[in-house]
Amino acid sequence: MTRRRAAVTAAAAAVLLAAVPEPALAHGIQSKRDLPIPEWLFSWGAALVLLVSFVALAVLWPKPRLEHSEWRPLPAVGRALGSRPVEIACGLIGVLLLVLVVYSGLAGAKNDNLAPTFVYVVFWVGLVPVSVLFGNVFGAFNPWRAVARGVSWAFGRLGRGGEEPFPYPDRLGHWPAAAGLLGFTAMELAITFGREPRGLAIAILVYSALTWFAMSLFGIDRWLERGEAFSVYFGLFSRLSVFERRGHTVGRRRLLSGLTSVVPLAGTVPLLAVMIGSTSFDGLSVGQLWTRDLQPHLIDFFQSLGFVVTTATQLAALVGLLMMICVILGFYTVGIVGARTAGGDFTREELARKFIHSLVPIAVAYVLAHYVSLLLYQGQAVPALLSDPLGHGSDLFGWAGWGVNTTWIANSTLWYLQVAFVILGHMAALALAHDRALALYDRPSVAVRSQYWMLGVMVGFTCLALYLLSAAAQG
Amino acid sequence: MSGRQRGLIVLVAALVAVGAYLLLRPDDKSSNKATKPNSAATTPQPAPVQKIQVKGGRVVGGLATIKAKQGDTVRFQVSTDKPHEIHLHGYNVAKNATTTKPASFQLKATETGIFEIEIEDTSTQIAELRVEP
Repeated sequence: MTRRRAAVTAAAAAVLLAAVPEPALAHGIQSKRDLPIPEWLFSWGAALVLLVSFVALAVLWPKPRLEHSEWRPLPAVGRALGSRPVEIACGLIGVLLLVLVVYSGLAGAKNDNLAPTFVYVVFWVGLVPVSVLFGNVFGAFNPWRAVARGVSWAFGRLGRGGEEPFPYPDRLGHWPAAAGLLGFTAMELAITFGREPRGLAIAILVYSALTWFAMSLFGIDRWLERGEAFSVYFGLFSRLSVFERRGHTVGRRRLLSGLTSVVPLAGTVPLLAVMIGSTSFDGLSVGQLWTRDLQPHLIDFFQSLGFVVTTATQLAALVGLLMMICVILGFYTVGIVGARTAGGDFTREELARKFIHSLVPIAVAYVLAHYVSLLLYQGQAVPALLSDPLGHGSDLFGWAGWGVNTTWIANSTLWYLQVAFVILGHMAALALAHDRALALYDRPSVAVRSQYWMLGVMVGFTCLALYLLSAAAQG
Repeated sequence: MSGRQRGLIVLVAALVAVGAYLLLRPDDKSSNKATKPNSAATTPQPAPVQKIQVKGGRVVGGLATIKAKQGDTVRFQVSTDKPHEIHLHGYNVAKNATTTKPASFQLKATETGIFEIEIEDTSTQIAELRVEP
């Protein structure tokens, strides 16, 4: 008996030893991708989307319920969370992390560097579920805001504060944020420069400089609200949360009601198209439609223009990314043009803006379904990377040896999670579009007819999400 | 519409969804039974070595897919027209290919998932290894 136990222990030790990963050779962020959703689950998911949609048409409420948001403060906790010391502490942490990431990127090794994982996994993906659950957390930690407020406070003390020199032009709207997100996603998905720690650090420095410059022109809060890409991005997601900060207090609001108060501006529709289109391209780029049918021809084309193969590959990816964004934008526009035929006195532009907030849950669903495993797997690398941020072999906290276990979740569990995210996003989007239609049109019959079109748009987006995650696309 | 009618619609829809799920879901046991005797009857044949060709820093014929079942021994070769280091991610195996000698990989597919195979110096993906359970 004891001998057997010893054998088992030895075997377990051997497995453990085998499981300890060798030092990674890769500078890539993700070492493994999930197996795609099998076709039968894809068809079931798509059928479920249709079913949910028709049931929603039958049972959703007949009067708008989300348009005016009630907000009730959380008593003691709300005031504590919203207080000045907490704000300053969060801001300091944000600045510290920014400095750490930039320093790691510039001074650290090319491999096993903190910067790419922190930016592309913890920040870009991790903050999405955090925002959806807990509200605008990034707003509190935003290092650009913290620095700008610190500087403006210091200047105010010196008696040199004052009005911002320029009013924010209406025509600019959300365009700077859309451009910022496009730049970021291009770095993540197309331009290899942005995936290297050093390139990433340089990009962060350039973006920081631009942000502070724009803040000095248009004012800190105005720029955060409209121009700063990540504040706008996470800000939109945080509107799905039931928690909202008003003044210096954190309170609760009705689920989904936060999104109805989104003020659409010039550029808001393209912004959402960038958000959904970039994730779609990331999905498309691993499928055969891209790798066999599109990418080789695009690379050939760019090579024939005289670019070397690495540049041609990046340009091809950039074209693919832009193409996918245009597809999303085009599809939404078709839905809006259709909804206009239902009646009501709105221009296409107006109507497109009125319904754009309903795409936010779909964007969340795309991100979560697409990146859930990246978060659950690569997220585990964060303690080790924090302990050795430069990849030089230091071990500041003793966590440097922590490995990444990429087998702890069954493939099927991930598939069901992905389908669940997509369907939940779809339901939230339907509810929001339905509610807006009721508020927008005087006659209920027009509201219902306009909704058939929006329903078509939502079903299209949702099925595209499932398709891109499935074996149907990845072969 | 009354609350009761609504409840009924939701209930019917839920039943349809569950029914469709049970219908569509492949039966694990039967599919295992169907495949297992076959693989047990024939002595495990080593899978043919898949060959991947790299020319001018690109893979010939678009991204290659190497498929394997968990537990299989995977073998593939990458021949190149220039010396390159070829890296299989996840399994973390790197081999050098020269103009005369291709990079030969042989490994046991222990972990499921999709793993990229790249030209290391340019981070260009040339193939993927797909290990299914």
